[in-house]
Amino acid sequence: MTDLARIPLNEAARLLRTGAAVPADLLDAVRKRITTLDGTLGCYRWLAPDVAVPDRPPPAAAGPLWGMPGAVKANICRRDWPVDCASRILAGWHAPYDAHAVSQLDAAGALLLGTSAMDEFGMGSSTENAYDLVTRNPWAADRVAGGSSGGGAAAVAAGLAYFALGSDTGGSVRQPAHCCGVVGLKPTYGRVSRSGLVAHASSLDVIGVLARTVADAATVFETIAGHDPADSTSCSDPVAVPNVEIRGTRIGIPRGGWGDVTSAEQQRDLDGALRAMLQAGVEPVEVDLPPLDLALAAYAVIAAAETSANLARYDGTHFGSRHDGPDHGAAARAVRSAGFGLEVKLRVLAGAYVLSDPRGGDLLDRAFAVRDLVCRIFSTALELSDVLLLPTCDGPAFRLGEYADDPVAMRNVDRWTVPVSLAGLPALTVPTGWCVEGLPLSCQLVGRSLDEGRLLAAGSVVEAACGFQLPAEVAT
Amino acid sequence: MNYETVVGLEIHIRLATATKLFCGCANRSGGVPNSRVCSVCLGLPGTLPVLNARAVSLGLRLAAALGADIPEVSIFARKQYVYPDLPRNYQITQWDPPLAVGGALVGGVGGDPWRVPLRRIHLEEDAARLTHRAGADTRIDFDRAGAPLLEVVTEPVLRSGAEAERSVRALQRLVRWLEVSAARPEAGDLRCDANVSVRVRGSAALGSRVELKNMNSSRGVRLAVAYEAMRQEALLAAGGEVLTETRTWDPDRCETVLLRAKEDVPEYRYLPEPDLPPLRITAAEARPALPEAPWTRERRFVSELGLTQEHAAVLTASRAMADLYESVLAEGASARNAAQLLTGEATALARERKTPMVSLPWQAPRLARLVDLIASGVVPAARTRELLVAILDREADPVEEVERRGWTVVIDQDLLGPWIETVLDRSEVQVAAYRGGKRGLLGWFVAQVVTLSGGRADPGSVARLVAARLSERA
Ligand SMILES: [Zn+2]
Repeated sequence: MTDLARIPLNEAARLLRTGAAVPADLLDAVRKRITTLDGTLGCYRWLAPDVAVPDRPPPAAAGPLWGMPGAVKANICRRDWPVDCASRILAGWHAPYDAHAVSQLDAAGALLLGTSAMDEFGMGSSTENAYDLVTRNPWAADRVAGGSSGGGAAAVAAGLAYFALGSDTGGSVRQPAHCCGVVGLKPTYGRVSRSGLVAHASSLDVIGVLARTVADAATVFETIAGHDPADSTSCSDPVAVPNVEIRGTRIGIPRGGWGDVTSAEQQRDLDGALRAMLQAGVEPVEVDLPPLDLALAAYAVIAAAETSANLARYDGTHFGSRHDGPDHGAAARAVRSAGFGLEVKLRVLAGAYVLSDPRGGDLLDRAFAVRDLVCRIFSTALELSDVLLLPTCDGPAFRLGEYADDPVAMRNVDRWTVPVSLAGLPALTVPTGWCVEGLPLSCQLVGRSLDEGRLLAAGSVVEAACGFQLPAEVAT
Repeated sequence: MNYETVVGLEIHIRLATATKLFCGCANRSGGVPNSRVCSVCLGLPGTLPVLNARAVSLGLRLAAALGADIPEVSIFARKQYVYPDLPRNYQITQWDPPLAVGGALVGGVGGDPWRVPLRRIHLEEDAARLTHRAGADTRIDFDRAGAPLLEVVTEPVLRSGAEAERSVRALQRLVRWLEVSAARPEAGDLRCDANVSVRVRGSAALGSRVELKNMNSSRGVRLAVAYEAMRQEALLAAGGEVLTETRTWDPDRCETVLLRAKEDVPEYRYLPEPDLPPLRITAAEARPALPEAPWTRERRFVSELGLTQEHAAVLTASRAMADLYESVLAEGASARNAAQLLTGEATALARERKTPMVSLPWQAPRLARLVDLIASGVVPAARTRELLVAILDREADPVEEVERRGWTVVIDQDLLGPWIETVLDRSEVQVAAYRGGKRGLLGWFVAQVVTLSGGRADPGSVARLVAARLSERA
């Protein structure tokens, strides 16, 4: 019999509805796996000691998230939880309030288990950049889970949670979904309130969803999306995931194919996904993509600039870890030197460099210009087509420590996800198959702004056609 | 060498909103420190600013009243510097374009007009208040952090501390007039920085610029600018050099003190604020309904009502004052006499009672009748104070009060005659002296008669009758 902890969320919800299971069964099943596996996998940074489990059957109005155990990335605030963003500088800090997305999950009756592992402040693509915890890929112990939402992706893949909230700034939901073989949804920028999401790069940050199926991702997305007056950049448009008829949809393919994807298996899976969609009645359209290298450079500049400002507040004055010093400046330097990891320091310094413009240049303005260009090119592509089919990554999850000495090279991992973030468009990573090394591969679908409905519908087609299955047990 | 001072002002006005600029905390001062703080104004992780729409509309009121151009879109930025008074180590302020551009402060409309063009007006948040305790620690009160400020920046066209003071006063009057800010200097509602430089008169180039900080009143601005100009002139005259630096005004020692040298001036690393979308102002919002401007009203009081410049200035010191004055006129009082009453005895009485003039329970119809009584000579001017007191304390009608107390001026010869005879009878020496040519004694006789009558005798009539009476006996 299939482990209860590993079935899709919507299937588990059916069991609850029919009375075949109660929330305690789900929780027990998940907790059992956490107990046996998390010491190896490192999915959770912290587990809540008390999770209130409803002992009654679901109320009539309950949605599929009712009684459903899930994980929350350690940069999304939950009252009284140690939301430390995997940074020593926030060690011991407890969030004094709930993020909007968390309140929405609460209202839907979800059971939140704890904080999932991540790269410090969301900076990284491997979940190796925490001061204390590395997440391993459930399907190959020597591989990364991807990042920065690696803990949530691994937890969902390995049955340690039915869903997880992640955050995606340049690919931090999609890339770990790709690495772990789960579905990752990065909604349109502004679709989910950022209130309570600890900022990394504010104009790019989006709370996203990691789930086992496209339908599960849609369920969580519908719950957490919507206008929030506490976030001035949150969209007021209504959220609905209608059953979009996929026949007749135009799928955008980069002119000349996915040119610089070097992995043959990745190419094969993209072709397979395209074939599946064509069979479902989708029409292919060739479109132009933004220059990826330029987008990556612009992203580096904008994200670093915003990071350096966002992280300026961590000086030990009135929250977080403290340090004594002869004066405020010295104390702040001491706190920051000891509290931030290398990757964070690199980006903070890069941001300060960008903003102080020491060469009298205009790096930031040029980066904004590139961003406009990226938006325009995507906008044209999404006029000619309805959904774009792109890779999430070029090849499977890399080895732990593979980029330890080359943080710049590691950023190239995000070349297919970053341009989409610059444009604020919704994107969905859907697992497509396995490479010979036994690691999952995926494709990335990109939709029009606010058009998550069509995006998810297209994702379901790919999902059904690929028949992707997770292994029976994790690799240890 | 003949020097000339060049001053530009940056005036920070705390807006009269109920809540802070980006959160729901109360925007007040005083009370227990750190009692008006929340996750947002403390800059805790995960919090986001939400712009206070009221602050924007107050800013637009002032901008429109100053005749500034209001761009359709303005943006917020993060001004970064590390200091414990900034919870996030950056201040959210408006950068380019700001809320408003241009416009001018005007004044002296009664006869000596002046105009100070403005560079920009923008919204920004206040910082926390630091209290450095000598030899001990520093306390941070975040109650002020995030309070809504409007910064008004003048062009560098002022030539003296006095001109700077005049500009600050004009702005103070205007923001109160528009109910944009309470502008209480003692509460820190009005804080000024001044950029001061001196140059050889007639030279076009500006000298090294010194930024003065920490002036909390218009008087402080005048003194600080005057001191700093003197300091710079003395330096130059002695062959020295003025350094570009930031100095702070020490009101106790009445001098400016070095705060930081040029190389220590922070480099602010402005970044467009990603948490706040560009602020869009509609054409209607850019033209708010405004009360008649204080200078317009002041000019009208002089040109249409024939008031002196001084009276017009006093009567337009606040909108409530001008309203009170015009409500008295609306009851039919004559403009000049009403101005005389309000700026004279009524103001003196308010001062005596330590209450703002406009807060006293005057009633326009009663004031108007009092003005009439005095102007028409029915009641002696010496009774004005008592009648004002009766209006305030007993809601007395001045006409009835005068009748009840028998304060009507006596001009009737038959009634004045006995009082005059009594005085002359008991003043033999003075009568002889008068007749001997000391005509200056006439005033003395008049005073005696008016006193005897209990103030009712009309001095003019008495003088005429006494003079006639004394010449007749001779
Ligand atoms: Zn607050």
